[in-house]
Amino acid sequence: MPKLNLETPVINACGIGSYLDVFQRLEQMGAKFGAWLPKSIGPFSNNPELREKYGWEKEKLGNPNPVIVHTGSVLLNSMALPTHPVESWIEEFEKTPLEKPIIGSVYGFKADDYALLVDMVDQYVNAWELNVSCPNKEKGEQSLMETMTGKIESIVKLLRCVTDKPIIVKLSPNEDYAALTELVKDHVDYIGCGNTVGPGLVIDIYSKRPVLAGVYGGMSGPSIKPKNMKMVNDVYEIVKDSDTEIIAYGGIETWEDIIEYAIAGASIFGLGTCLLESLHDGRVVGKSSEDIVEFTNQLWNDVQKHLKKRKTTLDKLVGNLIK
Amino acid sequence: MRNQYHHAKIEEIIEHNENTRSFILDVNFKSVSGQFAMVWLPGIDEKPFSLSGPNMITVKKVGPFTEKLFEKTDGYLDVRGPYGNGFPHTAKNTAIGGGCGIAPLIHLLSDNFPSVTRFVLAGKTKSDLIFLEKIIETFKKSPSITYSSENVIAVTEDGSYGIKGLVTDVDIQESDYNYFMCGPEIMMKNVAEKLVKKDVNPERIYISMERYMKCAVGVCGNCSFSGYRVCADGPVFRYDKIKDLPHFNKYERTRTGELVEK
Repeated sequence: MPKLNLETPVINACGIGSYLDVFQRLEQMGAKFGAWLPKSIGPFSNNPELREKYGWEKEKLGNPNPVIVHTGSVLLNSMALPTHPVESWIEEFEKTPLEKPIIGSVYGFKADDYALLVDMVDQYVNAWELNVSCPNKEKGEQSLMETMTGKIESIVKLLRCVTDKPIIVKLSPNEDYAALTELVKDHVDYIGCGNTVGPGLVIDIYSKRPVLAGVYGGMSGPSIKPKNMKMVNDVYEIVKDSDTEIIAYGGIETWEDIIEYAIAGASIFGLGTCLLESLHDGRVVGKSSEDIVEFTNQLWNDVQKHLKKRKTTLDKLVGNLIK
Repeated sequence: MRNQYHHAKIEEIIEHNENTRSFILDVNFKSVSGQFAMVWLPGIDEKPFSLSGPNMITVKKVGPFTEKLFEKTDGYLDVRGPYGNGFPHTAKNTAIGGGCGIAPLIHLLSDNFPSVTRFVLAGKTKSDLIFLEKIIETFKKSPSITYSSENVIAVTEDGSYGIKGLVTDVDIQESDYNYFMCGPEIMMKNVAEKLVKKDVNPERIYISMERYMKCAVGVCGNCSFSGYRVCADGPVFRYDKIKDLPHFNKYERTRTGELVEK
């Protein structure tokens, strides 16, 4: 089975940073990421023939603002997959070379969409993450989490025939991920554990409306870490005797979080909400690129310092949980 | 725990001209010049606006959102911020503002000490020169600034006030201090190029950028500008760091994240 060969087993979560120029800047400045994961590519095209043939649209706007809200303890987002045409993605891939491997994220409304998109973009990426579990939606839509659950097995089997590259399937902590893991574990290289939690609801008490224009939003940040930690460990118990590995997502902020996820069973670690900064006055703002570089280098140094002190490696820690 | 919004009472509305208004709110953002806030109209949308003071936003009516915002004549606004870096805390700066771009530079007058000693304002016509009286008044009152026609320079395209022409037609005197700029990207680019030709060090020129903003907290990437996220790395950039970037004055991302020519 093909594997990602990462210099540092730290990546960004899908939807964080999102675009290749952002990754190129962080890469040139020395941010400690082992691969880059751009925003999900979807079944949208500039080409009228493709649109006609496959029933695709030109683009998807996603929800209007607000698309995020921070409650002080958790971040909710409801972007609802804003997506531009696949041809614009290809142009961006061609114009924006990156040193580190790229993990393409892909979603569709039917299994064929995934296969067509992967085939069109395969030469520009080093691995694929299948987005089949996004909990967000525009009003009147169904989310991928709602529509894809029953189709995941057929999608991964189909994609195995389309690409030789490593395949990650990112599952949701909100669905029966154990059953899904059983179905797909022999057909994928990695299980992403997991997507955002929920979705949840934040109400503005003055207007009595949801803060998020998309009403509900997937929750992320340190407070969801125990939920996704259990998911990592549950999935590990199912895949431990196979070659399938686990990518952990959810509230990673410190070196201890990485060690903890490794003990639960993960071997790659996805960052997201830690790119926010909580200020003394309660405000939550974005880290500057310089601060991201410093933060990720410090994080990885701290992991290595711990491993050296304990005379161990991350590989040796994976799945060491004593229950 | 509460969410990040201030439910702020509108204390006063200043009508600058038919299309530009400032909302003074009962909130103290403790902001610095160049920072911005997100203004949310529940059920409609949320957009970024420059802070023209620690309790003030200035809005130009340009589309459906700002039209709705103009319907607000009293009551409350839901705002979060301040976000972004702002202009550096240096003294004796030259401020150059075009149209609504004058607004964030006005914040320099309400900081602890007025850190601007020369103000260049440009617009199509006299009514675009928002805050002109406030600038003159502040300069006249301040013991540390001299008010003269060389220190407050007004430019209008139709010649209805001050110098007739574009801001690039003005001979902006060199100084040993910094130049702070906000306005249309093409204006900022042209003025910066002209200053550099006059041997101004590009490291002393600061430019305030604008891109389609969604999260405002650096995570979504939609406001990226050659890889800088305007909300978290900017909106203020030192000219030497951006002047050769491929997106500068050329490309922007739309609401879907697509990179298109400006």
